[in-house]
Amino acid sequence: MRFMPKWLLVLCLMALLPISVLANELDVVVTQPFINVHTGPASEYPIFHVVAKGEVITLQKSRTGWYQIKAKGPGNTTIEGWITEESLSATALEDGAPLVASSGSFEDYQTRNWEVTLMGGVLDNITAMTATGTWVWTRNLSVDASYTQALGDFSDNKIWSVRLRNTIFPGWRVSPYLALGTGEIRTQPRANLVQSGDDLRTTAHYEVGVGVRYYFTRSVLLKAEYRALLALTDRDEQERLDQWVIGASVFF
Amino acid sequence: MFEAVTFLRMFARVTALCTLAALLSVASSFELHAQTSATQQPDIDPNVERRDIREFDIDSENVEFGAFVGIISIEDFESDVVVGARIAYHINENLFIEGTYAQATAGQTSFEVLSGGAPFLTEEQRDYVYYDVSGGYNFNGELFITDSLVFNTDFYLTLGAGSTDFGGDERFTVSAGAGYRLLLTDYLSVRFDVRDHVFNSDIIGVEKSVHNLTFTLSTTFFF
Repeated sequence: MRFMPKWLLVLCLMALLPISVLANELDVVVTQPFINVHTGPASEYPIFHVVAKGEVITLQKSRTGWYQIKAKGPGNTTIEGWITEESLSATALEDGAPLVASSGSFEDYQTRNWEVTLMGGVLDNITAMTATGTWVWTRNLSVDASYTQALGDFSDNKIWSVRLRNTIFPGWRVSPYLALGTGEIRTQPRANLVQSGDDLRTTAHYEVGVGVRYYFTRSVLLKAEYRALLALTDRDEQERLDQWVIGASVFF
Repeated sequence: MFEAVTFLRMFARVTALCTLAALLSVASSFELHAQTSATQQPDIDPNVERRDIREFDIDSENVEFGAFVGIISIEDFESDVVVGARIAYHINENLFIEGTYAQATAGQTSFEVLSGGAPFLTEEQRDYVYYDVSGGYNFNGELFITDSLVFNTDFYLTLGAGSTDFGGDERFTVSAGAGYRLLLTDYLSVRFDVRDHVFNSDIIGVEKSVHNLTFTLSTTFFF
């Protein structure tokens, strides 16, 4: 068996770090008549406690649209449970200042710095999968670094590319975008087609892309895109590839 | 004559005093008016005190990361131990996106064992490495062990696509599966996962769809 790659080992070690010590707690006062407390971070989990107006609760962490809280329970006990993000509006800081949570809203989208995108589709009738990391430069411009793998019956194609993307209407929930980039295509014919088994071909390419992005829900964008790739081959004719993909992005 | 002069003087003094008194009273009433207008609040106060709005930063735990170990049954090539890692991003209480990377080593086909002839694959080609990206859906629940010992759980279904590197080729692979996640604490979970990985293979001759089942046990952390 092949040894685990180093990065995998590092990630495993990172996972073993005591994560809970990073918690950053905050005390807030309930300003509305009551807040329901659920046993878990989903609406299906039952309500087992109610915190009343004037009580102090401690926010411990959040998961998707839920906040874990600690509050005084019956007698001298302390209860721990989950409240919805909406019920945060029924609380204030202890000095009366309102609470503003960063929750992946469309406003947070405007101030994002990074995006991670996964897409699937076809590249000249071959199934293709693309993963992209994006650095958001300005409201309109962002820089994508993407990796595509297209696995066909005759060859395995891997495409690296770096491109500049212009989101035309960044303030709209649905906006078209244009992209221009360059990279490299590595084509490996199937092992059963070549006797030597190692006939790797590397070609530089330019690409243009046209797509639409839609702000879907908390921290998630949906995208659909067409890319035209021009492979700069050694032959007399340049080769053009068409890629159609759809996918989703998560922004941070 | 003397009386008349005295009277006139007195009259002048009294008039002067009265005028002074009148002037003083008028002045004081002005002052008073000025004071009351100063204490009256204007409708819009331009000096608004700045409200203290602070965007707080509570630790958000939407990412789940962990390692797993289990058994993979590689069609035609025996079963082996599979080890890997997975990372998931939870979009909401039900939906998540997950990436998996794992590796195993394929054994021999029955033909290779029985005939004792030349092997189909080299040692290097027997390395079975796969990755996939899946979308998942959680059905949230609870596990009651006793009245007071209760764990949050979820049963989930996944569907994904990825690639399998086996027999010297990488193949487009579709995966589908189901699993059960038991949250021991808020951030530590144990997962049992069953997944089928399907791809087209012609390693043993004719091209066919091969099914490779994995049964794995993971420990994951939310952070």
